[in-house]
Amino acid sequence: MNQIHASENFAWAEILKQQARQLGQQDAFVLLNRRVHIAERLSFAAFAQAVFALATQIAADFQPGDRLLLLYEPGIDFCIALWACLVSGRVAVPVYPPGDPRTRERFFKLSKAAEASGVLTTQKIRDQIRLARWLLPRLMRLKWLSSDTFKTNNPQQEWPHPDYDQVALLQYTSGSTSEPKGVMLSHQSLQANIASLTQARLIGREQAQERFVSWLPQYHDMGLVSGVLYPLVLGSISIILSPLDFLQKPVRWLQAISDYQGSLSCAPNFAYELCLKRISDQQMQGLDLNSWKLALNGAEPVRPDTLRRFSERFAAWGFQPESMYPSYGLAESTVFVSGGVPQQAPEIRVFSQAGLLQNLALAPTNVQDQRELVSLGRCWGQTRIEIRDPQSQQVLPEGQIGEIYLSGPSLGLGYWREPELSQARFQQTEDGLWLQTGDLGFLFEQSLFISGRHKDLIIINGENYSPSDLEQTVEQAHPDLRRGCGVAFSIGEPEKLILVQEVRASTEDALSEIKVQILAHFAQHWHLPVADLLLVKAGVLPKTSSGKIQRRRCRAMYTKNKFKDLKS
Amino acid sequence: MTQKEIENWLIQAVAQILDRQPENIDPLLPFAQLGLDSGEAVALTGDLEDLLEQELEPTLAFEYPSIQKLSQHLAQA
Repeated sequence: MNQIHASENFAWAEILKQQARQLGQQDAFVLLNRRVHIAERLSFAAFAQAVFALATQIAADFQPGDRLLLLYEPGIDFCIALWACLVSGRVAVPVYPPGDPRTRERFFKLSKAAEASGVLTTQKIRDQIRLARWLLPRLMRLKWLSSDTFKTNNPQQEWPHPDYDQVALLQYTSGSTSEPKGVMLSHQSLQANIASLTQARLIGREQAQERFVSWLPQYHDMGLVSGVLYPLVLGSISIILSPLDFLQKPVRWLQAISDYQGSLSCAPNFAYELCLKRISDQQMQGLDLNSWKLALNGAEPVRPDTLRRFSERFAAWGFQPESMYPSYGLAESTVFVSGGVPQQAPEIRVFSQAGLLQNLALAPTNVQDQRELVSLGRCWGQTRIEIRDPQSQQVLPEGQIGEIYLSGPSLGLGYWREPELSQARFQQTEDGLWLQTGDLGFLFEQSLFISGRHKDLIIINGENYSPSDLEQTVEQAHPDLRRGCGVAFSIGEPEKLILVQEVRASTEDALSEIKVQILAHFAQHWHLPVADLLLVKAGVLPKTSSGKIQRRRCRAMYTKNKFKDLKS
Repeated sequence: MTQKEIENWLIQAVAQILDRQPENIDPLLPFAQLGLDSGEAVALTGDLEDLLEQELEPTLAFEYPSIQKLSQHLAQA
């Protein structure tokens, strides 16, 4: 077992060769089908050769630093392509296949924004796209390479170290269609994050050998690191399922862990909820989750209730409560930021709700005044954390709520071709680069707690949505809707989407028709259920002096039934 | 199963997911417009697999995006 030391950079090609030498014919990647049977497998030796062959071809076709879209179904081909980009120093831009009409626009915007030079894909997807005439004109100028059918003689075996400070990967953040933002992750960011994961994982279990199971989308940070990058660096098997197969029958995730003795598997909170809701006792028959030592829960708020119910319910099938591993992370810092000590039950703390509203972490004064929060542990590796006052930027002491700032080598270099946004969020100071996360939280007994989100972000089923994007879609649905006078926010747990839109006074008799049009137009753009849509009179929504909608006040007004829907 | 049977089953299933009365579920309306998110639409195909005892593509409810279209397709298949 090869452990990577913190702060030590390594050449990607050397890792591949080392694993091929030491682990040879053992499985590096295994892809499972819908029956949770092995559909495809590749050994460490074969994987290294496949990567070197593709990297050789890429190096011949593209210049160092060129952006290449990675257009793949979930599987091993994606893993080869990603590693080939790393080895050859071409920038990987993972995207999902443009099969769904609703994601087409996003795909085009993204490929344009990334200023891609080429596309890596499979022959199958390429054939499908050739048939789709609407796609051709916009993608013709890109150079296409089918990574599963090309032939190369004498794959190059020797590769230089990457330029550790150069961009290795553009990680596009999920959800929002209007302005795709690509976090520039350097080789250094990726390797530093891997080192911090390694440090966290091994506390108290120094000899642990992992078997990774992941159904997470490979094009997103958590699936990319925990399913594609990290296993190979460790010399561990990575067992892959398709996200759709998981969503179709969540039991497949647990069955894969049981059948293939998975020890490390990550998912956002909603996935654990989905297991509770959609897996029957009968489906669990014969399954054993005893091998699952790190059930990492991250990328969206970790709910105390979910941890408890999941541990209680699945204990009958060998799940250990101490395997639950709540964590905090974000793509701007590669993926992983903080987490607890492995194999210790998650810590759920009770704070005063009244105190939290005043930005203070205090003990509750009575039983009504309680709010539970999950400890997200401490930072690992060289990552540093500060809680700052959102107005004065002063660093706050323990127990005070403020905005979370991060520093350290896992940080990205900024957003691709977004200098203003990059400067605003990635702040260069005398004390190095600091990231403004947009999350609100506090430190308590050296552990991190998240108490809210700063940016009014809406998170549904693990996807982040920017309210302004959703508001824009609504107001475009009908000419009688007032521009800039609509609001989107979420309420409850799990979050539900609420839309409130002002209409012009003259249109009140056609309101039902307008509602139908809004919902139809919205559904064309977003895969997102609308829990409630209200049409209100002009001037009802609270605005700032500069005319911006006050979303938080809107939410508060909505929950107190202060809006009068014109239609009802 | 006949199309009518599948359609009725789907109406019940969607009503349950959305916490609404079955008579308020319009089988002609697209799933998204009924209020189903993409995850729920995929989950529906999983439950249909159990009902019909056959493997179904997770994306089926996107290709046949209403209760009527989906039940029609499944009855013919």
